[in-house]
Amino acid sequence: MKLHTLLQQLQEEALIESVTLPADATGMPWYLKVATAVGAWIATFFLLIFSVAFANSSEFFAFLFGAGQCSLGVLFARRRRSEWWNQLGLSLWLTGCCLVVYGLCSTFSADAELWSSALCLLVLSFLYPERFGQLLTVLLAGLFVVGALCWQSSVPADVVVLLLAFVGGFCCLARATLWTRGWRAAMPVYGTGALLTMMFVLVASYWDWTDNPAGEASALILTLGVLWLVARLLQQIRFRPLAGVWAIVSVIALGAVTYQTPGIMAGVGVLLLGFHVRSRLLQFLAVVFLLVFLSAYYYFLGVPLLQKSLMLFAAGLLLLVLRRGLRAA
Amino acid sequence: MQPQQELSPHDVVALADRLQWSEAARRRAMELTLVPPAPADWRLFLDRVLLAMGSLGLLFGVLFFVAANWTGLSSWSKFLLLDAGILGGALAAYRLGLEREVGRWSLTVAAGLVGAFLALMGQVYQSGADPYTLFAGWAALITPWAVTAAFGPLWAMWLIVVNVSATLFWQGSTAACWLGLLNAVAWLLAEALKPRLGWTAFPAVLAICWTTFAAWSELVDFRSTGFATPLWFFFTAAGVTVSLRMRSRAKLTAFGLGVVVILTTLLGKAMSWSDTFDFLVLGLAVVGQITALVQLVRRVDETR
Repeated sequence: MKLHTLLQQLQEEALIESVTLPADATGMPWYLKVATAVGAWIATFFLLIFSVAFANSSEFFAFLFGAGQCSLGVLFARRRRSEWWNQLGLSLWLTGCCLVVYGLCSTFSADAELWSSALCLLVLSFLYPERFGQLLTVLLAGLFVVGALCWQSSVPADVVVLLLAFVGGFCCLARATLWTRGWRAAMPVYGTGALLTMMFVLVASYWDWTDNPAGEASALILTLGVLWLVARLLQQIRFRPLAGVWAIVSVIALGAVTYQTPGIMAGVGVLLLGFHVRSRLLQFLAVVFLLVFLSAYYYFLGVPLLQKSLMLFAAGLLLLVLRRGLRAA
Repeated sequence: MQPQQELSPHDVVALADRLQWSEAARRRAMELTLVPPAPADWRLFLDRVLLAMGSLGLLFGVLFFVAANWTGLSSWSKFLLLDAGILGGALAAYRLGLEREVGRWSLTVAAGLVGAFLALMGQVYQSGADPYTLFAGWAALITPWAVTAAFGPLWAMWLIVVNVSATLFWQGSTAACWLGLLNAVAWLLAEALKPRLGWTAFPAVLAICWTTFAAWSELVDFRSTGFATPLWFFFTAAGVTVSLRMRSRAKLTAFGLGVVVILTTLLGKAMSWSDTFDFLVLGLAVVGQITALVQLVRRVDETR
């Protein structure tokens, strides 16, 4: 829904008085969010060095110190007194999270260290009252997941992709239900975090950073997921049955052509989900990842280049024919 | 935020918080926003996505086909193939018209192929010329197209080619300063001739990055030129003044980030580093600077 339509509708229903907005009515624009995130991470870096030195390399003190910083971060974010306290709260929160994870998870065996750190960060993210900080915490957890797959490879990446695709898809598709039941952070934080982590896992798999990389199984899972999504959307849009058959055939063909590079199908799925939930961030990242994986497809050695060119040409042609079919429908 | 902008639930929460809407208004606004896109919106979206992905598939298919047969082709065939691509793109742009998106994209593809043509020429004839001449020639040849098309992506491509050429040409300690100046001139031209050239933010961000890098290098004694820091100071002062006049919050943020980098470096240099508390001071200083930046940028009203 567009801004002016929403405001007019609310005014007609006598829920708001005016449709004119002050300049800073709608939160931060994206570039200020980027500046805030960059600033928070740089400040976190300095605060972390100070905190580690202060804790004197003791895990217990690091945990205590981190818990204290997390509490202060939550307190500042809850009070929302001014931009200074918000920014300080975010930096303290991120520093505290790193220290708590260090203090708590270094007691585990090396195998479980990174997985437990990711889990710990995920649990911590529930405590922070503001979504932007939650998303940064979840993304940090995602990086630990990728790290765990790269250095502690007992879990196949296919299983992680399946789990993340399910969580991301569920948070996006059931966002209205989740929202009304009080899970307001489900889509913007956990849905976005899961889908982005899935993309990073696929990138790490493609460049063979993991010992059990995501491969054909992930491609199959993602193709089935996109098929289900397309079928659901076709029901909602009410195209003619023939157009529906075309759409499903096209998805299967694309899945078959790119089965060695599952990132392409993941990009298509995230693009559709991004539009469904009107997330500009997800749509932008899906396009970026699609371009990355299409370029990566070039270097894949399993299929000769000539065969790849013919397959891509055929897939492109099929999509353009599908477009004509949908237009006619 | 513009009146025609699509709202996400996150935008609605921010809006409701700022304007202190009643619980009833919040709930109704969320109900209206959480409705999935209408069938007409889906049709338009799928139409665009299928066009883009289908075209990408065809384009990559052709590129892979050429790459697969590249070694087997004679020099003449390679030249003919690239010439056909350039000619085809330019003719398509002429036929379709530059006011249409497809026409402008055709010209952008043709401009990209000019670079491939020059690279092939360098490969076949082995002239021994410096690599920067290839990029300079490429930039010079596509300049009329970049000026005529008034298309953001083509203008960005032209700027990247110019930057690569200049980077290869200036390889001393002053390189970053000259590149900063070059992009600053491109920014001024783009602003003065707006919208004839393309995106104004792109050269502005490039200029900020280069001048800030030059000043930072000088401050940390990585590359000393003697004039990088004053240049950065004057450019930032002028840029902030221009951005304030134009009420461009995005450009002010970019300039602000440059200031944060330089001020933090200066503060780091001024410290004795004998105590771990220095890190705490530095962390708090970054928080303070970013806070000030956010508050200052928020005060600028873009709509006036």
